[in-house]
Amino acid sequence: MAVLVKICGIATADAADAVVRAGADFAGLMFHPGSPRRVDLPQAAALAERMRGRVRLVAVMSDLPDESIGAVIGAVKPDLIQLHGAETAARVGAIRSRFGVPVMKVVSVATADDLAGVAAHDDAADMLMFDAKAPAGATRQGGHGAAFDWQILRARKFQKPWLLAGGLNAENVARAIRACEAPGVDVSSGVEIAPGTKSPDMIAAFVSAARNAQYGAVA
Amino acid sequence: MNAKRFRNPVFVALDTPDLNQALEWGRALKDYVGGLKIGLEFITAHGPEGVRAVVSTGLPVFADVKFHDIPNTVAAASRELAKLGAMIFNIHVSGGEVMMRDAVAAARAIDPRVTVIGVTVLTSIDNDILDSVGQRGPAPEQVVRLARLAKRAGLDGVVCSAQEIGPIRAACGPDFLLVTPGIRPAGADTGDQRRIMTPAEAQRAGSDIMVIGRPITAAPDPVAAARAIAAELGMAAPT
Repeated sequence: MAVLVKICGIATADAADAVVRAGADFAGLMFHPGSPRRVDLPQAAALAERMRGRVRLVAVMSDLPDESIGAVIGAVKPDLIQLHGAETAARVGAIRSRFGVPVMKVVSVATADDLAGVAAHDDAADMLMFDAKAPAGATRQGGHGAAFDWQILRARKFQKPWLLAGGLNAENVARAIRACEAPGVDVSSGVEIAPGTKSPDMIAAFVSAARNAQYGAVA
Repeated sequence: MNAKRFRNPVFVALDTPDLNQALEWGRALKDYVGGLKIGLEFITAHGPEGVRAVVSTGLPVFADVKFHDIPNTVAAASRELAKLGAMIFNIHVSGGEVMMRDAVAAARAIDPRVTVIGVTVLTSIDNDILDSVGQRGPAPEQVVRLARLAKRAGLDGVVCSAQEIGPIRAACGPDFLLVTPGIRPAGADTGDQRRIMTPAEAQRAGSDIMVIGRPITAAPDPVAAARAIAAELGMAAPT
């Protein structure tokens, strides 16, 4: 089956158009205050309308209170919420049932030990994402361009679809997919020419590389 | 995940190649039906832009596409359909278990709320036709056989005639969604569907989604027709 592709941190109309043109499955809008890809609600709403129905819209948030989550959902009407903070499985379940929007929970990984608590998230969320743990002292969780040992995920079984994130780019994404048989991949800094500045060419190259890396039955 | 029943089970079939007409029906009927059904004529005429336009009415959209191809192709098409925002679509059960599983996985990876329905034996197929294409009949038995296979493959339900609800419900259990086309309010023109039932009869029989086309869209006043059906089903119409 073809690998799912998410392009995260869409902050401009150019990047939004490039994501749609490249045929990615998911586009992430970032609401974490520390991120260079952060969009405010009016920007996010405009970008969402530009992309709606052409790519699934993902609102990326970290440890926000219900009130702020509600404001994002009201403005963006996302297809999916990505929780990128320290939310517990109980919190994931509560957000999912309160807002009625599917949830993807991010699990930060450095070593196999970091997967210990993943079963609870696999039960509570609709999708999972495995991202590289942020470097010590970082002010935000993702978008650092750092990778982890993909082999950790090999042969692990999860009930829910999951995306591999962290340090991926057009050059290494096929290798990463094969290393852990990821059903999907997520990229942000790997398709940027500078922090927060997406390259349409790099987006197209990434999507193409990920799609061509599909494994399993080939008809 | 699979509490997928709709408050109003009526899906109105927008069987027209005219996009503006379809959208007009969708907007006018929004408060009186549970969803909109689009089929191959509409989708072929208007493509993804047309599907997105219908989805933008805010009602759940059932894409009656009846995919049937090799698993990879059906999975890829299912993913694209889910991206367009269709919340329900159907595939042919006779494509086999792998095709069905891959389609469900591909669509659910895009949106876990997507409902995937199986098509068993088309209403136009009788025992002679079944025999001529080498499928084992009689038709009512083949329908139940394929419904069981659909359930095993993880589909949410099947399309069936109202008369088939009983045997399929007995075979597949209470959580399996049964989608019934060919529902006609008493006195309506029977059109091209051979086996018909009224909405109230279908509701009593246990239909979860009723697809109703011309009795609403060809009525002199489609809104009044949809309201009358909602009333027949015991649903208070919004004021």
